[in-house]
Amino acid sequence: MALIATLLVYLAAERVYRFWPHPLLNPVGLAVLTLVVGIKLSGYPLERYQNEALPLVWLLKPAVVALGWAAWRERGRLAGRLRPFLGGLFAGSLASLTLTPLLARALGAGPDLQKALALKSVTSAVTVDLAPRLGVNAELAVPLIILAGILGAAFGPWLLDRVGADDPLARGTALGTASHGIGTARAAEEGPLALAASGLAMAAAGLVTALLAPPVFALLGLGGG
Amino acid sequence: MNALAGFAWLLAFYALGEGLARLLPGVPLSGSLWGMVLLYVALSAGALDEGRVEAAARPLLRGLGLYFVPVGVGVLAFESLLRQQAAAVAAALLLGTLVTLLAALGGARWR
Repeated sequence: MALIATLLVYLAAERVYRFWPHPLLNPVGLAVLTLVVGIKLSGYPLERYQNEALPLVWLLKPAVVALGWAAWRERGRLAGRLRPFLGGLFAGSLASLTLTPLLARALGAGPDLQKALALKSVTSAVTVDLAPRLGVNAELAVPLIILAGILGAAFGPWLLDRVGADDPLARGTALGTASHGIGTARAAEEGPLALAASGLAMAAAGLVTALLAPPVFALLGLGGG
Repeated sequence: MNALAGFAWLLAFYALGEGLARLLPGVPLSGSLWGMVLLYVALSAGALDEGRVEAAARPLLRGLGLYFVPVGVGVLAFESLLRQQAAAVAAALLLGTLVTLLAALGGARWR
């Protein structure tokens, strides 16, 4: 029941997005919202829903592996531009991982939320896998990640215009590093180089964050990972 | 049949990744992230023909957004926590995302 409902709601949400491709109507966000409202209204037990939908979540494992194939296909597009790509990737990932939890702490959020927010720029596919190792609640992190993706896709291009960024490689790297899959969908509208840079940055940001998160969490006093 | 064989390859790389993660507990990478790296390396080295995985990888990635929807729905369990700290979370998300974009843009000046 939960599996079919999730599939149908997601397909409907994709249809809505195809009809009206606005970042706020992102299909994943729309599907999560619809199902949350549906579960609240119907009183369907959350635990039962999650157990029944587990096979879908398991597909993330081979899907993350498949990202290696997707990255390999796009590798040639960055020929000769590896330095700006890596510079953007590392600067963005490190800024997200350190500054977001510090901002949240300054604003009064507790340690669980600080840690979940630190992963806001890692694609959800990787986070589901990564979160338990870092002592982060994936269920808390994923909706925040979706929101970070939506915010980046909605305001990112505007901000990049304001600061005069006109290099498609830099724009794509920034969108993919900050806003993973949702930012990459937005970068696709800017052309093939921005799309390739963004997609590669999305896959690589998961890798970089996995490696950097344990020491950063230890430094920030967030349980050492 | 091709798609099934491709899926088997992806699972094989995932299993290899799990094995490597267990062998190298000091490196904080999960089995699927190791699998991603190993697949990239195998394709680059020419050890694996791209056609073998493409038939499965393409449709699998097409539905990527669907697979973590159930995890997102789990946010219901954190409803009261998020309600209490909604303003802090919203501000940290928006500012954090904009700062990340600018930092990445700055880093991309490396020539």
